[in-house]
Amino acid sequence: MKKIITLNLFAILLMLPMCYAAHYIVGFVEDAKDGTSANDHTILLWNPSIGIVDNLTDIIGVNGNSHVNNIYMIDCELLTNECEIGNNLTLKVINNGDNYVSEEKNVTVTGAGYDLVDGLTLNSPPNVTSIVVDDDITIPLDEIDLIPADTKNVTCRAIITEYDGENSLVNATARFFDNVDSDYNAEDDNNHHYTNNSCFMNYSYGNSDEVEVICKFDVWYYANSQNWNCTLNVEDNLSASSKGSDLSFVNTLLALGLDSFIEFTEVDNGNVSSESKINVTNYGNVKINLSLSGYGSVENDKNAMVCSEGTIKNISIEYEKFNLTSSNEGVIDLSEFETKYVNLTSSPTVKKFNLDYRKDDLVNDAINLTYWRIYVPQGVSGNCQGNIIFGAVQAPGS
Amino acid sequence: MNKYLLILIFTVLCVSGIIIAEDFKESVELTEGKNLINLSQEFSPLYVEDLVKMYPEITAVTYIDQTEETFGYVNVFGGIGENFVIYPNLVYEIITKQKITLNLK
Repeated sequence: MKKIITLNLFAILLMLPMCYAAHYIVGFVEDAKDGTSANDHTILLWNPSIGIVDNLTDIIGVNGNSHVNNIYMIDCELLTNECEIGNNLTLKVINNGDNYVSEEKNVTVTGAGYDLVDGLTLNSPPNVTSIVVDDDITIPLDEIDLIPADTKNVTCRAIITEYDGENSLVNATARFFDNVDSDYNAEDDNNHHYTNNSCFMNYSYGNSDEVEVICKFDVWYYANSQNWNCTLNVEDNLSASSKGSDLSFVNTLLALGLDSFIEFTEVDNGNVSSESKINVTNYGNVKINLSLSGYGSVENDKNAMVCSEGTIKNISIEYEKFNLTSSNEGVIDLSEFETKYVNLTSSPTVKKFNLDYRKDDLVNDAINLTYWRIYVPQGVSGNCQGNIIFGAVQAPGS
Repeated sequence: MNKYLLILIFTVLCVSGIIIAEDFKESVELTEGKNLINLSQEFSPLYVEDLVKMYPEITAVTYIDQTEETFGYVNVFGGIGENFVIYPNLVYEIITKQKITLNLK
């Protein structure tokens, strides 16, 4: 019997260290300052000198190894590369999907039964408590009026509550996008998507837990007329982020521009002028037709021009004509003049033009030519001047 | 096959060695640090929490069951971990912060 005891004890001395080995890393996690419980969040332990791939986790609180609220308990001998005395281990609460994490804490493995980690606190992600997007004209609310041929300053303003202290808020970005034809992740395009990666953070706003975030966008005149969404993303020093959004409607903008005067060169009496061309540019955000009318010196005077000399000192309105679709170069007679061109009128007349709004951010593709001629009757001489009123009318289907 | 045979021999050596080593003792002396104990049949089962209350010098107790699941109890924050039952004839790892003698009969 004694021999058996001796034999067994020898075997035990050799083998027992392999049978049993446990070293506990324990610690306390405080609830987040916004009141969220640390319980049921996951804490991760790893040895940085080995790498985070070899890790262990525990559920904080009663559902974890400790069975005690806010406490975790991990046996670091269960790492694939078992912990040894002197190892420095790192722990942190990881994101379970609710955005709550913690800072990292280090602990050195000792020869004691357990090692106690310094207290962790569950981080509160920043909270977007209010957000408003609008232009500088706040009445009516939630409507944005663009500026022809220019940009409009749109501001997305939010109040952020950061329970871990306003200084832990480190980054704020915003995206402003057409809520129908685009989305948060789309690429920037002046028609439907804008990004601001450097929003202003006003730490002097409110109390020590509040930050005002201001994100500005220069929105081009050809931005889609739609409901637009400003989505703000704020991030704290532990990369916990939150989003908030608000909608505002971009109103339709009807606007056009002309690049020059229409200038007819010298015309002999009884003849039709050469064709003069003028570019019309859509400076709005809808497809347009043209409303055209003309006058000599005062509106509705039935003239196209008034002249400085001659027995007849004006040119009737119907002698000035236009073609909105095609050019007819060269000398033409009255018959061609009548068939290929349309009379200008004293009262506005809407003509189909279907000039779409700008879609190309690099080159202005919202430009179309118009073609003009005038007939100079007998008895007119000298310099003649008149006026043509171009108006933009929203085209169907835009 | 050889692998399982080795495991079997290993387990028999571990368990029987401890049982025999601790047989007939009315008390168990634990040194500072890690101790492996196997209590004799005379000891009444008790919860680890109660054991630790009786011997606050104990800092941690670990038990590994047949499925190799580890149960641990740590004497911190008033006692945390699994409050498992300590039975006779099973092996437990007890870590103490100083030398103590268990009198559990």
